[in-house]
Amino acid sequence: MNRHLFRRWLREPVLHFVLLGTVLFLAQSQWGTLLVREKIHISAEHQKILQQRWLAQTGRQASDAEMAALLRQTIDEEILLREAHKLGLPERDPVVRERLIRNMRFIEQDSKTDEARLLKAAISLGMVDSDTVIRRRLLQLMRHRIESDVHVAQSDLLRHFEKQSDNLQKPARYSFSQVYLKSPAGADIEATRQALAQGTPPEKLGDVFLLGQRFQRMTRAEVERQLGQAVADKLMNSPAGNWTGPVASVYGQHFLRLDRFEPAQQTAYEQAGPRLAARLYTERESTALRNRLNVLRSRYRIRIEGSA
Amino acid sequence: MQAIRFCLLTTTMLVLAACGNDPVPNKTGGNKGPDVRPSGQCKNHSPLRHAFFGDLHVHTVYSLDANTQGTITTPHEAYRFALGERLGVQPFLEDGTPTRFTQLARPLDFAAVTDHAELFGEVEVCTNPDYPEYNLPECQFYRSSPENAFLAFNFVQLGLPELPQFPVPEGIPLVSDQPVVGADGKIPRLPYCGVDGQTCLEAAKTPWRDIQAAAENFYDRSDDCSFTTFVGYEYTAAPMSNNLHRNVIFKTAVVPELPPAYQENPFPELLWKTLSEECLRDNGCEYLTIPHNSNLSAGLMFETKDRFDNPYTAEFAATRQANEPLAEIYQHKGQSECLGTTGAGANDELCGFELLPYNNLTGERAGGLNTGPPLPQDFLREAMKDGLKMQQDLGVNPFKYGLIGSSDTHLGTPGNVEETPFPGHAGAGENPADGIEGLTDVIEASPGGLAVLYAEENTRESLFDAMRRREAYATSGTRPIVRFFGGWDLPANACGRNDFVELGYDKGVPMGGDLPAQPDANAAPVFAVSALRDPGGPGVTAEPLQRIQIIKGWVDADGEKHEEVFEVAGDPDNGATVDTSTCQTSGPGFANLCAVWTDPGFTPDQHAFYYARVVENPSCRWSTYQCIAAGVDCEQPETVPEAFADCCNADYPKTIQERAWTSPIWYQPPS
Repeated sequence: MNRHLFRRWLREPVLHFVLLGTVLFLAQSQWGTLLVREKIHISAEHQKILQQRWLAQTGRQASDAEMAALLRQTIDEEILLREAHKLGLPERDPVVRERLIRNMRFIEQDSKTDEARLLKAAISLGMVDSDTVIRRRLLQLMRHRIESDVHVAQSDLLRHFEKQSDNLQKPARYSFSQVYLKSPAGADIEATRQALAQGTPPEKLGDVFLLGQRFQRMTRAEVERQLGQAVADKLMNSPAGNWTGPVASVYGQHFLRLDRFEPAQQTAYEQAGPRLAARLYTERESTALRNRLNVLRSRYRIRIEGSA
Repeated sequence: MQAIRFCLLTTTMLVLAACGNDPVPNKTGGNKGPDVRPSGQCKNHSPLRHAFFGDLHVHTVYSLDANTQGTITTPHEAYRFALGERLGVQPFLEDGTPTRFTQLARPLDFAAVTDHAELFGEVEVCTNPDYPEYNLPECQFYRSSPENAFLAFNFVQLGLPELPQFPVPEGIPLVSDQPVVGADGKIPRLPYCGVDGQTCLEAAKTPWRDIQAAAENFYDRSDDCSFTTFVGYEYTAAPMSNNLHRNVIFKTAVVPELPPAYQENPFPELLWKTLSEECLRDNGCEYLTIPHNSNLSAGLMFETKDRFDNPYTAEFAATRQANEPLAEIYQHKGQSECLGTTGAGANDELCGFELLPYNNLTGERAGGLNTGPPLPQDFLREAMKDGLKMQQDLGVNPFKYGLIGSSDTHLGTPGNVEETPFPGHAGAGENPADGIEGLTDVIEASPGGLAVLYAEENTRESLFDAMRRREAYATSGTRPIVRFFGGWDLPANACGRNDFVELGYDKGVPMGGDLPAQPDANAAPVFAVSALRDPGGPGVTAEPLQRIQIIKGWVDADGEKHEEVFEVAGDPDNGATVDTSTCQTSGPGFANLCAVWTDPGFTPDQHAFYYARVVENPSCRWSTYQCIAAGVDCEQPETVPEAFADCCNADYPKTIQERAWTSPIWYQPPS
């Protein structure tokens, strides 16, 4: 290529246009977000309020880590609220609308103003940002929007079920009889022991107990709740068919006979599946929220007064 | 292996298909089968009925008054807590790490999350013509066909990103009649099922739907019957801060599309009307409402007139009785049994138990403005006497209440009703604080109580039927077992017999029941009451019993109201005490108590009720434990930190006597 031609080519407006465009494009993509990022400013005063609130809640000053967490939470909430505004949620959500209108009716008790105008007035008074209930409602709506993307695949759930099946047991069941003695007198205990050994029917022995003498298909937890830990322990370690005891409880003395033992069983998927799914959803929803907030945070210019 | 896989897969399909049996929430009806389990399917079934312990008053993240105080517990987590899992509560650290944890020493048998419905509001835009969206095509679609439109509505209206797999709209052919698993193998996130159980809807997550999903997920439908949930909500009517709140409890998964709320139903009778229209028994929907905190209603809860100031009619009284078989006698914000200032009640010193000093929800927040001292008519004993009087005049008793307790927790912690450790309930508008640094709740609040239901087995059907027949009692948080029967020929030796319970059912009626007609003119009603102390357990302190009382309320021929408290078992002067500097208890008590008692003053032509109160030996109040732990010395006021100032507030006792209140047994003279 000769020099003359090259010079002429360098002066070509199309080239300038393309170069300029490229530069602008690069600038835009590199710093563009910086140029248009919205600002979030956490003033010293706001930080003081956060500290005071923490003090009121916990009775002590927030540590550095706690203060950082409070700031993070404040910023995240502010971001979600701004995003809610961008989506027009304050105007569209019936709960927010109603609350705003109710607030205005409270302020202007005798006003005959229609709802649309009250709503407008409330918004122009900044009530959307100042009313705690409205802020909470908007945050809840935003969280639900983000969480609604979360799904748990059936294969995931099945995998979790298989992995946890050892922990998902249906409890063992104990059917047993008791002879209850109110007083711990040694003579009574000995007489009862002998009578039981001789095969006297339990109905003819012992004192009256409100829950009765026969217990059907109870779990360990149920035995423990009704008769105490010691009785439960004894029963769990008794061979079926023989009288053992007595065991002491807050009620008195109990002779026990395990009549039938039904071992623990694998929990069916029907039962465990929904609860497992609920747990997976909870975990994934909080991850989704965290991830989304990480993305959103990069779109804001955040300044915390007093920090570098 | 292949076979096992196939089996598991089939099971999965069945599980998902199983939601075909759970009808969709629907207020317009349709031919849906009710969600009923036949009785007797549970391993723990007993015709003589068990006492099941639960909490029917629980707030989570969806109650904004809880959420604004930092509660983020979801209904799912609340049920996990009820089952015994450890739960983190506020204040929270970085990325939601809690600074405090709480856990039940004894899991519950049943629970209902009852968030304030007034702020759910998702589909109101479509049902309220005042909203501009009312005439949008999707709203018209919604109103004409809510089951199918729900999805379109949610996704168009709320702008959610993509249409899910469910439901398959009308006209689109289904591969089978159960569109269970989506093409990409995704699971419906909140399984709801459509008309005739044919269609599963994937609903957008809204509070009301999430509440239903949580109840479904944690209800044990296996034959273990280990835990029951109820779909419910709180109807939050409080004109001028005077409390008319009710918890609405549904029997099955069939519930209205939206919970009827205060905005559209500003009076309880309008609530009942809407519920009766939107929750049809024919569709498998059944409900009841449970008023609570009548102590804070400033005279409104048991008014003896309707909203137009007209006196009750028989019809109106019958409506109230049919809708409200139970009342909550005790919870976080005090007892509603008796004020102890009028009539014979003035001698009932046990009415001083957890008595709030004001008469509405404003409490002490406005420096005494907009409230006043508690009023006698706000307490159930007085209201039930008024009910007898109306029964005498109208033939129907509108205030024929069975009694339950609950917590009213605003931390999403059902059943957290032990005096220690008590993380607070955040229900009094006060954020609970770290136990070491201040009292965890306002001084007048308390941990609240439990609902106990006598049911054959732990299922929704069995428990709900117990609520309906009022076979229920309330406790102040401990777990004594109490049986109470009334009849005409209960044997005097019932307490000495092993068949006490069989006898009670055979020869009498259980708590909540009506005495049958007097068999002869000389007969007097006999009551048999038996109680076992709370056995306690690891992490639970429980005291022995001190005494059982029977409280009688009646109306004489002149319409005068009367009440009397009878000591029937135990010893009120047993000398049991508490060292309030250590909370160490001492003195004798009873592991069990029993009595057969005949009413000495029975007059056949007087309407009457009888309920039992089972009282434990004294123990420390929650605040006393915390004040001792903090080393508060009221002798040296200058050393008491402000956060513990109420430790030295002489208006509140250092000790309490935990107790149980049975539902009354009713007597009605022949007309």
